Amino acid sequence: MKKSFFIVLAASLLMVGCVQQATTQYEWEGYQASIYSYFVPSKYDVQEQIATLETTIEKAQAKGSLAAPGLHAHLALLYFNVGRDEDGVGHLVTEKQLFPESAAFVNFMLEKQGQFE
Amino acid sequence: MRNLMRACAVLAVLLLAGCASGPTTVYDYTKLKDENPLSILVLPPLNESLDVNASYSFLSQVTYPLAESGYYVFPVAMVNDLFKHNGITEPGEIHAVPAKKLREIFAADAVVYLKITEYGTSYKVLASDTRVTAEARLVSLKTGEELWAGAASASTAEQQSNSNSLLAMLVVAVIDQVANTLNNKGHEIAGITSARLLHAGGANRLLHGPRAQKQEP
Repeated sequence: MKKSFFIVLAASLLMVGCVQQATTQYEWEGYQASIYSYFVPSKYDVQEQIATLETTIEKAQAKGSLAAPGLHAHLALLYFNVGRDEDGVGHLVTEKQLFPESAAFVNFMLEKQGQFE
Repeated sequence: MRNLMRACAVLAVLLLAGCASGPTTVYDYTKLKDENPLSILVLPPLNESLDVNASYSFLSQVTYPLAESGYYVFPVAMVNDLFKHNGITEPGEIHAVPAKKLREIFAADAVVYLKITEYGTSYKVLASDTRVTAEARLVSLKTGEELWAGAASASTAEQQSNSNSLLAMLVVAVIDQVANTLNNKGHEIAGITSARLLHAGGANRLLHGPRAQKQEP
């Protein structure tokens, strides 16, 4: 009886171990799917992608973590494509604030932004 | 009795041989450790498979393993658009862009060149097998030298209980969201190949980058 209790306990501990394995450093939801849709157009429409990515950013903020590297810039790209340039510029600036190593590229894109429609 | 002992000896030798058959060569990490690149530019993969979507299916799934291993990954769709707007559309042409030019525009520390050698389903008598195989080279944009190289493969024919299954599960959790809208087996397997190829940790694999929460043991 006692033995089976320990087996169950050990099994649960192992499962807890697995759950912890699945935590990630960044918030990802929708990012890679949106990249794929950008390359291979699917039913997953742009407005829906924008909404998903905005939710992912909110989740990251609520948790005190960060949206995945590149996610803000990708969202900016989607905003530019639907003509919401101001929102696009805002997210590009956020990308370089969160990840300063992207600054040179982001600045380059901000300069070129007019040509990206 | 003698036969039994002989059998035991043979078994022992076989076991030892099993132990020795791990990776025989160890990748020289000196240059990678010296440069410790933070930002990585991933270019669209060369595609040697017959599936025309292979390159972009794979490219859309490289950010996760690299970023979770501690690197900054430039937004791949935006990067690809930038090349496209400059009239460079084929992966082969993009790979030919000089390192100096890449460094100028992106100020990236390193670039990843990818090649997909297999992507797709081969139909066999008992079961079909969807397999994706790819190779990667991480090259310094400061010196032009190779910092790391590797190759990986994944297939639907694998047993669930292999040693990579934890990592695979981790990726599958992310991919499930993709699968809802796309339901594409090759794409799903490409995600696992990408994780095996580009996630840090393990023999001859990439090392963790500067932003990693878990450092090398």
